[in-house]
Amino acid sequence: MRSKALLSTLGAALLLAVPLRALAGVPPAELPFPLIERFEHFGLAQGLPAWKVHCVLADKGKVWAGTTKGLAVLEGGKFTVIGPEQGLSHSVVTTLAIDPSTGDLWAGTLRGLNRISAGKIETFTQTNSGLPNNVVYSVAVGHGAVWAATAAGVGRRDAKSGSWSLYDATNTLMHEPWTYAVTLSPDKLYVGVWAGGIVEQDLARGTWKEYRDPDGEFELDLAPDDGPISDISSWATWEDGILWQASYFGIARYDGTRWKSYLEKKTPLVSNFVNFIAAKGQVAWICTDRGLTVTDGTSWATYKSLEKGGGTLEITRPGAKVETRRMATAASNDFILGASITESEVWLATSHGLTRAVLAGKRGQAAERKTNAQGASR
Amino acid sequence: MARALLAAILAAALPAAGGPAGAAASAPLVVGLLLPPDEREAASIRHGAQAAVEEVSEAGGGVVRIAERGKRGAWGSDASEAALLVMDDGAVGLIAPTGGAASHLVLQVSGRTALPVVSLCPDASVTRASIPWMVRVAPSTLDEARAIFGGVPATRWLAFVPTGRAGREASSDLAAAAAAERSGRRSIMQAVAGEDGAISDAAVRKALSSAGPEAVLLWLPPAAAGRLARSLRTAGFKGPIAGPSRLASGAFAAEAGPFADGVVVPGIDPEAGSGSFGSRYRRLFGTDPDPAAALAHDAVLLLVRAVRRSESSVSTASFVTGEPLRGATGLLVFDRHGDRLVQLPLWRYRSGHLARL
Repeated sequence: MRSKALLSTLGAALLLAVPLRALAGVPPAELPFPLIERFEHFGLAQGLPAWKVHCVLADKGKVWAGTTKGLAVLEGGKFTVIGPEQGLSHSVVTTLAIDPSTGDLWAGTLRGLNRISAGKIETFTQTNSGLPNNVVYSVAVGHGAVWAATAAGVGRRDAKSGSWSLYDATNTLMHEPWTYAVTLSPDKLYVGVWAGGIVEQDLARGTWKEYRDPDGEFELDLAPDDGPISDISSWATWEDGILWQASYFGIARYDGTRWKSYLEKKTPLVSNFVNFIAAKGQVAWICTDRGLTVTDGTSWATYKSLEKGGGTLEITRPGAKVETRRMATAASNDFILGASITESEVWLATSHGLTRAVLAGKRGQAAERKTNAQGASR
Repeated sequence: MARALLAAILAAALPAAGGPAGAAASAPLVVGLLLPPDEREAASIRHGAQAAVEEVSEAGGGVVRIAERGKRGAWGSDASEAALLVMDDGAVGLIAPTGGAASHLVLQVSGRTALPVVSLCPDASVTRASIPWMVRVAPSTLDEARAIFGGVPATRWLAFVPTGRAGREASSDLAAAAAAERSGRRSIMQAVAGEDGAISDAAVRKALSSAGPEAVLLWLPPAAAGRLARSLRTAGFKGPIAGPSRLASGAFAAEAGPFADGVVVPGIDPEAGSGSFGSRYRRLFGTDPDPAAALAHDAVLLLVRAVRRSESSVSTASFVTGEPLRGATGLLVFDRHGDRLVQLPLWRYRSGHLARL
């Protein structure tokens, strides 16, 4: 009787000690990316100049947010704003990039490109420089130059000479002159072309290569993994050997040899309408009109908000059932336009405020940034 | 009747409106209209939009203001103008012009700003951009070509298209429409005209001689198409001549003169829907409205309703859900890609006027 009770107690203890997944014979696979623990919000009350945030960049203790009413910088828990009054070429800031060699910030706007260096602003427009067009959609810095994707081609400004070069449909393989994204690898330039897929330049040789959606279909992916997902490239990001193409019809991943496409109906991608992709390692943080999806192409996590408050996290591991978790907080808005990843957090530009997503297990580092005191949790 | 329906729809939408667009019915709702300097139908489009503003106001739909931009400049300047419409003029919706390049530049700005767009451009590529908050109110080139192929019995066609991007897109769409025909026997040969649609009489004769067409398509701006119709008949071509609905215009008829007779166009009837549009247009501008004017009018109505009924953002669903709006050109219904669903009856020029086939 006593031994039977002991066995029963031991059995109960063992049961409690063993995760339910293990009992079911499905050990949880470790995800190749960190999960978000909570979201914090920054809006007008915290000093953001406008609700709509087009882009965000976290760098060395500062968070730069490009809004419709200027460039906001969050430092030491406080926002300061740089706008046309301070010399910015236009209030609507669309894209940001840091020059890793100088620390200069490059800010593209709907009317010109700006370099912010040691508190000084230098502006470049199509009338005072070789910038191809005033509408700047994307900017990248590297290989001794700044590259700006504009409505009339890519402008390249040489860092040493300050001279400009133009790349458009007349001197490259671009099907159309409208460039929407630019990104660099150690040896190549990739340009996301509106209605022209992706064009690649070998920077050493100067040669060009074009990648188009071979089936040319916008409704159907007739030949999956055959190239870019669509000829309308809304964004392109290169990181750790992987080129990610965003479109309004899903995303594509290119490892230099093979293309792989991901669609909302065939994968856990939350929406085909993709505004932006940030990458860290071989993991993409995909900003859509209906939430945030994180993936390395095999494992997936999707964050969405709920109407009543809070949000959900859906985790999809290879060969496992979808795991849904309720979250007490969510991004400021599901329409996400940009992201910037650090070791401990991910900053999200949304159509209704700036969001700080704190990564699980990194709370200590995040707290050191002294930014959370200003954020409001939802 | 149609006016009462519009009033009811707009009035019903107003109380539910919130967010920036619907915050106050008294604050003007700004619709951005991009009209590049080379937009040949600029006057009609401008007038059609102005007629819609008056109509909305009279129907109790609040104050609407049209902000117009468009200036001559380097390639891509239309994007700058579209950006200014959004950011400096405060437009909450945009009307993209008939040109494909300008329409795409508007869509690029819309892609980054999430502002709704109604396009007047027939190029198939416009809705292929898959912007979720845009619709095309004009019939597509594909639809117009299908209507022509279905009503004009010919298998060997010669198409005149402009040089450059516009001609490339038109050629692609015409070829796709021909290939989609059930008979599969239709062939199209291209004869490229100049950038403004100009082509010499000698080049016309050479194209006719080498292609030997049964029928000719004039996929050119109205005035250039009118001159070409004259040139074709003068050169002795007696087969059917057809073109897009934009040839249902005074500019085409004036240039073609008596040689317009027999030319077939798929019809957008500018007075098919809203009963008040035609009379209002004639009162305001002293002339009959053409399809471009009617489509611009309908574009304004669509944007006003979509913005007023949306709390924070406009999606294609905002255009396509609920009671279909009846515009000057009939019921404004769209498929899920934002393409207008419309029947296109064929019309033929007779003595300078269009008559239903």
